This record gives sequence, C-alpha cells and structure tokens, in this order.
Amino acid sequence: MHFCTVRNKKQTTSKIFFSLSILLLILAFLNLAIGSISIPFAVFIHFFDSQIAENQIVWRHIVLESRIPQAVTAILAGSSLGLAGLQMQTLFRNPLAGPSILGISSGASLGVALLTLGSGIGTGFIGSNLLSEIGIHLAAFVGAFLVLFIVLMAAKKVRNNASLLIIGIMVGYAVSSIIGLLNFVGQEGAVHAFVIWGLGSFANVQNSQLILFIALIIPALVFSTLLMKPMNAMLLGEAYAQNLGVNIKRVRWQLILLSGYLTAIITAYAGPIAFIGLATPHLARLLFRSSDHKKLIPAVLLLGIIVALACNLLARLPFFQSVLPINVITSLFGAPLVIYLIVKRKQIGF
Amino acid sequence: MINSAINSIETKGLAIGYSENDKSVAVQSNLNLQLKKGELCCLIGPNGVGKSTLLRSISTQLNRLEGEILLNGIPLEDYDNQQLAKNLSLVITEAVQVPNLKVKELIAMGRFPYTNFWGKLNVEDQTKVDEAIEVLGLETLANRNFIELSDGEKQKALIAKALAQDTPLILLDEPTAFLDFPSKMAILAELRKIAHSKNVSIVLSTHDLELALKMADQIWLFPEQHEVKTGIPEDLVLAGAISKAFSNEMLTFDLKTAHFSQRIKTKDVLNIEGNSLEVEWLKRALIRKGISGNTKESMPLKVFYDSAIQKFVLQKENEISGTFVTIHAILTEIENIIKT
Repeated sequence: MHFCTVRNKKQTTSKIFFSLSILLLILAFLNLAIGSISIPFAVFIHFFDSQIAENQIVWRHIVLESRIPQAVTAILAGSSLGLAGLQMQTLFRNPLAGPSILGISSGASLGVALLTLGSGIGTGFIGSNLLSEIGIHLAAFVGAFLVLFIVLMAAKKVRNNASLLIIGIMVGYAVSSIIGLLNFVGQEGAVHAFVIWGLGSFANVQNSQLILFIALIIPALVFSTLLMKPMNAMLLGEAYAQNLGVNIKRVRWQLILLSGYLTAIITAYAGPIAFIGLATPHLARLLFRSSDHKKLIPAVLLLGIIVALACNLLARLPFFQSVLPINVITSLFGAPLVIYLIVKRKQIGF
Repeated sequence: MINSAINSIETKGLAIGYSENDKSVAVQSNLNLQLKKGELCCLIGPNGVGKSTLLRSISTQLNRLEGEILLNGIPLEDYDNQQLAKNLSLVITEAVQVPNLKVKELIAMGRFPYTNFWGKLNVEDQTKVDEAIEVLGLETLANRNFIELSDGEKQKALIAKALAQDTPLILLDEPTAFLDFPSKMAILAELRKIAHSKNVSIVLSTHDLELALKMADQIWLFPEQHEVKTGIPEDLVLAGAISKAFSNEMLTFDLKTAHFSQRIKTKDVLNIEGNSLEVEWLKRALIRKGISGNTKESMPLKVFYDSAIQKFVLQKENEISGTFVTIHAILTEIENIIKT
C-alpha cells in the first residue's frame, strides 16, 4: 500500500511533465502559426522545400524573421524569469519574492529612461532602426547590472536576508523615483515611448541578436540547475542549511548573482516582464504539490515557457485588432488564474 | 578515529556573546564545560543567561569571543562545513514552514552531508532514515505534510532529522517549549533513550527544570549573576545550587520533592486531622486560598475526613457544623466562616 502510493506519485509527476511538454510544443507551434496573419498548416509541411509558391515565400519570411525570434525570446524569458523567481522565493523564503524584488528590473528601466527621456532620441525609437534598439538593450543592461552590483555589495555586508530584501526594495524605490523625475521632465513622445517599453515585448529581438541572447542565457540556466540540492536545504532556513553542510554565504551569493543576471538579461532584451517570475513558481508548487527543487526547477522552466508562449499568443489574437503589450496579458489573464488556483488548493508558500 | 575516552564536547575558557564593530558583549565567559559520550545534558537557567548563545556558538552560527571549543577532542575550527555536518546536528526553535514537505522528506534532509551532488539517497541513507522514523515512532506520519503536524509531532520529526544525520553530538534549543506535559515527558524520554542506546551525546536547553532534574545525566546550570555550575542533577540539588539559582521571593524550591511551590503567606485558623489522600488534596486547595493546613489543637475550626460516610466533616468549637462531599463545598464554607 505504502509503496503503491509512492509509485503512483512518481507516475503522476512524470505524467504532468509529459503533458506539459506536449502543451509546450503545441503552444510553440501555434506561436509560429497564429498572429495578425494566419499561416496555413501546409506552409509548415513544405517549409524546407526549395520550390514553393510566391505567397508561401512571404509566409516563410514572416515565420523566419518575426515569429521565430519572438517565440525564442518568449521561451528564454519565460524559463529565465520563472527560474529567477523560484531562486528569490527560496532564498528569501518569501512567497511574494520575484525576479524584480531586488530592484534589478528597476535598474534596467532607469538605464532605458536615461537614454530615451534624458537624451531625446526616444521620440523616434518605436519601430526605429536596429542601432537604437541595441542602444535600448545596452542601456537596460547597464542599469540592471549597476543595481545588481549594488545589491551584491550589500549582500556581502549584510548577513541578514530580511535586511537584504529591504535594501533591494529600497534601491528599487530610489531608482523608481529618478525614473519618475525623468518622466516628469521628459518630452511627451519620449515618455510615451518609455511607457510602451515598460509594458514589455518579445518582439524587440532580431534574428541577428538571437545567438548572443541565447549564449548569454543558457549557461546561467545550466548553472542554476546545479544548485538544486543546496536550495532544498535553504528551505529549512539558514541555520539548518548551514548545519547540513551548505556554505550558505556562497549559495546566497550565487542565487542573487544568477537570479539578478537572468533578470537583467531578459529585461534588457524584452523589457520588464511582470507576473511570470512571481507566479510560475507558485503554479509549479500547486501542480506538483512539492517543494523539492529537483522537481521545481524543471517545472518552472517548462511552466515559465508555457506561460510566456501562451501570453505571447493571446497578445496577438486577431480578436484584439492590434498586438497588445505583453504585460497587459500576463497580469490580466494570469492573476485571476493564480487567484483561482490558490483559493482552490488553499495552500501557498515559498 | 574518535577516542571513546575523549569528551564529546568540551570548552576551555570559552567566552560567548555578541560582537559588532569590534565591540563585544560577553554573555558568559570562562566556560569550562565537558560532556561525555552517550550522555544527555540539560542546559538550564533563566531567560537571557546565554543558553541559546552557547548552542549557537557550538554550532558555529555565532563566532565565539574567546577560548576553545573541542568537538571529539578536535578544535571546532579544524572541521570544514561537511565534516562538521557529519559530527554535529541541530534542532532549533525557528519554525520550519515549508508547504508540501513530507515528514519523510524532511528526515531525509538529515542525509544531506552524505549524499551525492544530486542528493540521491543510497541504500545506507535510506536505512538511516527508516531507522530514525522507527526510533521516534513516526511510521504513521511519514507520508504526512510536515506543516500539518502538531507541535509535539513536529518536534519529533525534527529530532528524527537530526538522528538521520548520524552525528555523535545533537544540540537542541528548547525542544520542549510549546508542548503539553505528556509530550515534554515523551520527548525527553525519547532523547535519553537515543543518548544511551546509540551512544550519542545530547545537549538541550530547557525551562522545564523539574523534568530536567529527573531526566538528565548531566546538568549545565547557568544561573543569573552566579557562576556556571555543572554536575549530575542530584549533586547540584544537594549543594543548593538549584534552589539558589531559581528561588526568589515568589518561589521556593522543595529539596525533598524537587518541586517548586509558590511562597504564600498563610493564615492559621484550621486544625486538620488525618493524612488520607482526601486530606492531602484539601490541604493543597487551602494553601492556594492562603489558609495553612497544619494540625494545631488550639484552632477554632477543625476538619477531618470521615471515610465511613465518605465526607469531609467541619467542626466549629467542637460542634459539627456541616458535612461536605466535595473539596469545593467545604472550601466555600471555610472561606465564608473566615470572612465573618
């Protein structure tokens, strides 16, 4: 009897993982097929044929130049933010923690605000050329890493995690107030452009930038998965983790660095994406009914991707007439879903 | 490797406390404590004398200010994280609040220092976990969620985790706090059994003095404003160290029964006869009301228990003024008489 339940649970876990993988593949395909222009299924069957009709070339071009980079960006953002959120929630043992809790994405916003609002190039940056797009990425990158650096320095000084959390939030507030000032004095067009950037988008990465983007993200994802054992120990609190032989100072540093790095890169390429990082770990825990990071880490990677792809799909549904900003979708559809799950399951944690 | 003649834990000239910005405040200094293998040691003393500070210093959560701590005869700083995890396990008061964590999974976390990179349990790890579950009698709870357990069951599960860690020394900070009396008793009995049967040294801090005196092989007594005393409970009681440490204007320590009782000024108005169980319990009730229950001839009131009719009999100036079935009834009557 006892062993039966264990085996059943193992079976359930692999069943969920299998179902999620299928769902992910379907969503990935739909992301390529559905949009303001629907692409017939036949195009994908003959995608690599050398001899194709004229209109198929257009469709193929749309898929290759627009939909694939968008889907890949969504995949990278979803997995990275889900993982970064899990890392923060485990480190701070706080269900409200997320990738933006330490002010990293605010830092990115400051960088972009300084560039768009401070320099005046912002008015023209929507739909502008590649150069200013890279400029935006760079500005966000620099801002995010500046804040990450400050937080890491603070982490060296401050032993207490709660204090560190407050420092992170305070840095976020300070940065936000500077952004507020820049918005206040900025030109109308630039402010509008900045607000649009702040709503997030998976469509700002070109194919040519994709390789670098992937190269920046993958190593951090791989390294993060190596921390599953110490992360499990951290669940019990620092004292117990230390007593179990975990070098808590090092693990804390690694978790902040990895989570901050992932958040910084994603925010640089896609803007500050709300909701996914905070909610995905909760979805993972609710779905797998486990706090074991051996399950949670693959779970947040899969679920993060699924949520991001689903949101990207929803944002482009023909029903909305135009493409909606990604943050509108993540929070509008995601929040009620998470509330429903929490009320139904009645258990939440970190 | 570990010589059985060596103390499991020993401190030499140890000063503990807190330091910040080069300023340090010692809570206790010049501590020379020793504990043999396989003994249960209770750390007792009022709040704020440094019981938790000592446990945190031994478990390296806190840097010591001065002196040496030897674990199995080897200085603490010679152990790295992993070695220390295999030699010292911990149960603290900080609440573990992980949702979806099965009792079994929590106990298995005790095997962390032994498992590989992925934390996978091998046959030996599994055996140790099952053994810890069995010793603490947690078989029926093993698949339950830890946070759904009662306080006493949680404490047992955490002790099982420490046991699964398979260390020669276990430190527990107030493992009996928040428990009802039978659970306190059960936990301490369990720990003593573990110490003796597995040859594990256990140090625990507690406020349950009477229980500690009953169960401990060794007492480390941290009195307020007095020197730290160590020894077996009986020696400390006889030397007066216990009553000196804990008695005050409110409490008095009875050397014979090892009980604390309230100091209450009592009135002499009653003459109680007999020493039956009923009379003894009546005396307790009277003391609570501030009336002494001595046997004195000259008193105006006289009480005895008539076992033939199974009633308390109250006499006023040698005339029976009433009989009572319950202590409550006679107590009310006596109080009324005294008032008028």
